[in-house]
Amino acid sequence: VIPGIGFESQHKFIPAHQQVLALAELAQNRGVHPDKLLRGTGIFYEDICSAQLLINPKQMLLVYKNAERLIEGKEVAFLYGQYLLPGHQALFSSAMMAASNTQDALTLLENFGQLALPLMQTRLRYDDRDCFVQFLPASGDDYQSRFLIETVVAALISVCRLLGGSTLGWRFLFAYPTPDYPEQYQVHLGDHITFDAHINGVFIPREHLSALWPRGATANFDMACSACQQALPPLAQQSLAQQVYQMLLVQIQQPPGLELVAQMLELSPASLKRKLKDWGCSYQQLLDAARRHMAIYYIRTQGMSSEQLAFKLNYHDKHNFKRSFKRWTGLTPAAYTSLSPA
Amino acid sequence: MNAQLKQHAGKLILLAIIIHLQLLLSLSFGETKSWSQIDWLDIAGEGGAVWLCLVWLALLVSVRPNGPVTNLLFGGFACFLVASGQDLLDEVVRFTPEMAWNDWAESIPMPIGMVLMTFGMMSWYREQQALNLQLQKRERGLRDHRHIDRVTGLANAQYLRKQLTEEIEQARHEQLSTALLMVDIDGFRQVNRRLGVVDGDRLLRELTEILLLNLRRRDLLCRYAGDRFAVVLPATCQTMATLIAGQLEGVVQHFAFRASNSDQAQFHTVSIGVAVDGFKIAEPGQPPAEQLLEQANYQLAKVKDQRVSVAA
Repeated sequence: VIPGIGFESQHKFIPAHQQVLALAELAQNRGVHPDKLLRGTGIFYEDICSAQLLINPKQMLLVYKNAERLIEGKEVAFLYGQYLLPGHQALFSSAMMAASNTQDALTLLENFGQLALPLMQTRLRYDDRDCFVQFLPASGDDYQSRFLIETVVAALISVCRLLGGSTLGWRFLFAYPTPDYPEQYQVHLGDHITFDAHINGVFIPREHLSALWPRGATANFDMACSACQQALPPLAQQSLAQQVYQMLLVQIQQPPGLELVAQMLELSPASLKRKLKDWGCSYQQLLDAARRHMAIYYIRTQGMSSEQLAFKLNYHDKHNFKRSFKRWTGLTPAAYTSLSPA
Repeated sequence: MNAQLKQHAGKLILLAIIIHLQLLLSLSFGETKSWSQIDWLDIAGEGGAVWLCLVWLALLVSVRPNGPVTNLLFGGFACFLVASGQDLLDEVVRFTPEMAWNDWAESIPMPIGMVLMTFGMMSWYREQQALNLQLQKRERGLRDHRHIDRVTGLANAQYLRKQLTEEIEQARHEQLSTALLMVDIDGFRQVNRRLGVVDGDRLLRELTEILLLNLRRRDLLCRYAGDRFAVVLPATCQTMATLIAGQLEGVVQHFAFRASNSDQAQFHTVSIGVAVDGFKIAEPGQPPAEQLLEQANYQLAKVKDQRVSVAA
């Protein structure tokens, strides 16, 4: 049984001053008045400055959209990302500052990332060579969240460099096609970048994970982490879309149907559908996403064949799997593998 | 915007007074026509001319700095406005033949305006030539305002790609080699974190000036992305390119940057990747400009790598 259901796009829980103030400042430096940045959100700049205002994901995403549209130069997301970690949430940032290595920082992000990056869920997976850090936006949509993804990867890489980690061998994957400013990715993130990967995340070589950072303090880190545990409101852990995605992912061989998911969340199927629609997604899209992510992860890390993947994802045969894969990505598994190196 | 208007305040006030006088005089000495006597087609045509003059004036004062060229152009447009305004007034006010000044107001300002405009355009031409000399290292022949970076005023990566493609094509034709430098500021992220984006942007701008001063006339400086600049060196061999890269590293190293909140000088270093378009990199299929960019970025990464391992 899952306690409570994930946040909806109307829930007001994001502290505006922690998230929006830096962006407003950036906008102003680039000649865009904060009021313009906040247009349509119903938020006033003065209210943000009072440090009390809570806003909802919908407002937050609208601010991002405005920023993307109004601020010239495509580096805003990357610059803004540098403000987001260690962030302005006192407990989270003190834990981050006490992290002893990249592994600590990633674990912190996976468990309590919502405190600093409320609209992005981080998920870690390990294989022999790498740790894969997957980013899943609150809306559950990999392709429409470019600005958000840019901010989060910039935040992660910037905090790791700040605290003394190396980010040289990191390999980034982005679900969406190459934007018309690939050089921003190159300069801010490094040379290993793949677009059209149909998943958002970064492969970090395992030997980077445990290299010690100069400022690390294990006792402080543990203390701050348990404080985070208490500070995190149970509902703010993930969005409803992320929650459903996760329920499907853990049982990907026998994924529960829409009715069963609704039942587990103590919702009627109709209201689950409506609430997901509010995030701009559907049960089927989330199921596709979970399967797609699994397939891509195994293709990239273990070079699995279509037969193996069909078995892994409980498809009737490899032709069915191939057909699904083609529907998700527009490519056959073989073409996908040959197009983008692992 | 307000500051922009303020520098033209004198001219604007003078023009407003003239227009008001013109209106007052016409309305008090002329005889207003009745509705039926008004030809609306003429009103539309002549009104359009007045309206266009106003648009020209608005554009002029909103972009041009004060100065002789602006004054001449402004005078020209103002004369057009007075002449076409009188023409329009003619349509709604009847003037008796003995009021000859109406005809004068219609016909005299026009040639004066023409003369002023001609002089204005001529001095604009000279001014533009002087500006072109200043802009040479920033744009190299092709001007496209869509590709200008707001922070540094340099051209951006899209423009760089375009220019590089043309440059290489021409250079290969003439059997010359083209070099490309990628200049990256070391530890720029820390500057942004420590001093804020305002000072970070200012550092980028000041470094832009420093780099521009130390380049040759034919070179082109662009802002690639973030804290990375690209320099196109036409007709330059590997040895020369390395030499120039060394010179740039040297001047940046000695540049004392002062944050807005302190007098303490801060010094920064840059890493530079050098790539030369020659026979070495000729992978078929990929455009040569992309290959050169890739090569320069790769060389830069190598230089950075070495610095990190030396420091560690």
